[in-house]
Amino acid sequence: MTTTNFELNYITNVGFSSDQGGRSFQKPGCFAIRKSDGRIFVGSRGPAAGPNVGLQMVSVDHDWFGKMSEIGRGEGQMMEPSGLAFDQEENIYVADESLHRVSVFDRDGEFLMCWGEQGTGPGQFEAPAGLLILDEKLYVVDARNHRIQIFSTSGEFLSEWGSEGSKDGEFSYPWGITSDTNGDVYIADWGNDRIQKFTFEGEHIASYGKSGSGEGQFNRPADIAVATDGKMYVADWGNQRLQVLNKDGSFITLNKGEAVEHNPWLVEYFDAVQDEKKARETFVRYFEVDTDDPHEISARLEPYFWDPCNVLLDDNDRVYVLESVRHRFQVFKIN
Amino acid sequence: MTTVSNKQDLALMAHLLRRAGFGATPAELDRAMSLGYDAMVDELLNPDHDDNVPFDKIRRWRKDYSDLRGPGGAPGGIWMYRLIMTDTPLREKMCLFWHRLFATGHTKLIQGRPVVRQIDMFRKHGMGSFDNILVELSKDPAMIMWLDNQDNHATNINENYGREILELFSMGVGNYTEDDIKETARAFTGWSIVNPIYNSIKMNNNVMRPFGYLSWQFQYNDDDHDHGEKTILGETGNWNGEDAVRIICKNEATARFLARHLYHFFVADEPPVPAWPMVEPRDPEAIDALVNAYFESGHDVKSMLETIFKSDFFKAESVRYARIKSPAEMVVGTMRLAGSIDPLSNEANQAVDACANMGQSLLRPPSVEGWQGGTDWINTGAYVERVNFAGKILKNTDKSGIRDLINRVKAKSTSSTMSSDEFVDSCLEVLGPLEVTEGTSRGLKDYASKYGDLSWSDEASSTEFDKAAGSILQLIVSGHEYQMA
Repeated sequence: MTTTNFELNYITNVGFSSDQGGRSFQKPGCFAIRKSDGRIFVGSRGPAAGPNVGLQMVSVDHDWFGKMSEIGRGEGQMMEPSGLAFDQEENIYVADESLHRVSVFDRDGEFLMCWGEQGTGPGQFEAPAGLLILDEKLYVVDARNHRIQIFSTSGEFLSEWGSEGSKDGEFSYPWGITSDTNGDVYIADWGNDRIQKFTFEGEHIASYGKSGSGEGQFNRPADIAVATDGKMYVADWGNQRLQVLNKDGSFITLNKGEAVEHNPWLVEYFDAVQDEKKARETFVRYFEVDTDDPHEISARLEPYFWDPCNVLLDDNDRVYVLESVRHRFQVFKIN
Repeated sequence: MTTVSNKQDLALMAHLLRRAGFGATPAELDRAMSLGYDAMVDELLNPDHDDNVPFDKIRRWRKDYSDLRGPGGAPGGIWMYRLIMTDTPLREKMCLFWHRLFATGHTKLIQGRPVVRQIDMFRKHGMGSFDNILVELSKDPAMIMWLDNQDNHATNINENYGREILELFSMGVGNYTEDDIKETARAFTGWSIVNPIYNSIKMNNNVMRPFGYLSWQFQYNDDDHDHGEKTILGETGNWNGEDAVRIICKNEATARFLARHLYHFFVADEPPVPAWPMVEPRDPEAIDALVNAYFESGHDVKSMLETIFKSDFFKAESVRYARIKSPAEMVVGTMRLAGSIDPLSNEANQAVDACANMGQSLLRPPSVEGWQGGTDWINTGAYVERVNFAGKILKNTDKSGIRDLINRVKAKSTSSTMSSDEFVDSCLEVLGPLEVTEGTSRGLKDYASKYGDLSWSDEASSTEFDKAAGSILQLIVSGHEYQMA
């Protein structure tokens, strides 16, 4: 299947790096959009003892609504948020890969409950990652146990599928998870460099991609979003790019990131720090790099994605890519 | 039966593996003995594969390692993980050597990543031609920013790098003039990094804002290079940086300086470097042999190393245990004895902290002069740190390496018992073998006599045996012999 006249047009970026807390993300690990108001929740992981840890609440228009939760191991606190999902009531579910648990907050940010501990048994986790709510069930990608666990939205363990391996239905450190309009489930099978598609009960339907840096190939894919037309948007983490695939897995396009403009948070910052603003005027964003290591290339070229870890779609044909080491997300319009 | 001859061979092999690596586990020593001495030297000199470091998992789950910005323990931790896990130890040992000689620190740079990348450069080029190493060093972004060469312009030179490449990195004091420094600095004008102004201010202001770390890349600006005629060490021409390196490297003072550094690091402690112009080398003939190897091989560092490891002056009993282990050698060697570490754990960072507490903060040398080594490593506080660290690691009988040591101690006996004297001798043997003085041996045996004959015939006695082994191993590594390489 071929797709013509498909374009991704860069719109803006949202984010800012600071170890002082406030309006900024630090090493964000996940994000999700609340449907009712379009508010975007960004899981900021921060430095080990930083004030940034929690869920930063922003909009695509660079509004900042504050932060939910704080660093800590107690109930209602978090260390390294790694997956987010909303239920019908817009309660928010947060996976924490450091605390090996899932926490739930209501729409106003009040802590409701949490469950899970480190381990391999039912209801235990080894670095939980992506979350998905489908038909009032919570799917948790249990990354280092190489499985998917399914719970009721009140935390009752229901079932699980998957084990470590590379055959159909097996996983190697899976990360992101999503579903399509049919209710089928897609999982970024990180260590196997592929996307796997399942029925909601875990029956394998298809696999897409293989190891490599070519078109349609992956290097440790971190996350996937699927549009209503079936197109797949994959955060190709190790290749430092976004790939767009047709429903059948054929390649459409890729993007390495284009964050060239100063978002309003930056403008305000540079207005306050004149010596950096003046030096920034000499800043060359793109130059010929002398390495072929994608991670190092992204470390040098600021407009590029650096460790794109999450991808989202909204109802307005926009795609969002979260970059854990550039402390921002980039937004594109699908045309 | 252990013959005198193969006991001597074993001691020599253990000496090689302490100096060209970080000591050996009993299994590594067995393998080396099966290869033979010269073949082992050849293997150490010719690593044929990269270390298997799971960077993807580390970047995913260790957010402090993901950009290596630091300046906390993470940048050192990523190197420490490799030091502990490598099966190409001489290559890593050479990284330590160059780090000590070309000391660059993220104390000034504020970020760890460029220094980690400098260590990567040492790993790639560190056993090749010295000319190439100096050219790569001169292009290294961490070194450029460390010694301000981004401020070395055609119209306004900055002498820092010109001075240090002559004084600290190649020839040593007394072998060049102040004019040579200026002229060498002129040769390196225009050797800078991409975005020098913006990256300098980010470094000076210590900010990650707005979008985190930007990795530095070398950039040569021909427009900013002084194209005039220069005279360096008596040679006149329109020299650029590569020419300056070529002129420096063909000078005998460079060969002698490098030879003495290698001798100091691999053979026996020399006095601190500032004393070298006044104090003759400990073994002038050995230095001559290394100088010859340097010139005969076209300035090849690997050839100098081969000369060292296959020479009589290296094999002599008089130089064994004649060097005080650096903190990095002590910590890495002890960790390697204990077995593999989890890349997602804090063990590597804790090992970096231990080194720092003993006086060697990896990637954060005290100054551009690096660490002098030798007796500078030892003072009361540092010695206590060493003893506590080694004891803590070796008493953990759950670690795979320690379990292997204990099992090998047991295997020394044909029955399920051994006397306390045999027990001590066996523990010393599996730890190196470690040669200790008669006094130390007696002290250990007196201590172990409280256990009487040791047995492991049932679970209870085996548990007691393990505890005793943990205690004796801890006691052995607290002795001064374990601090020597």
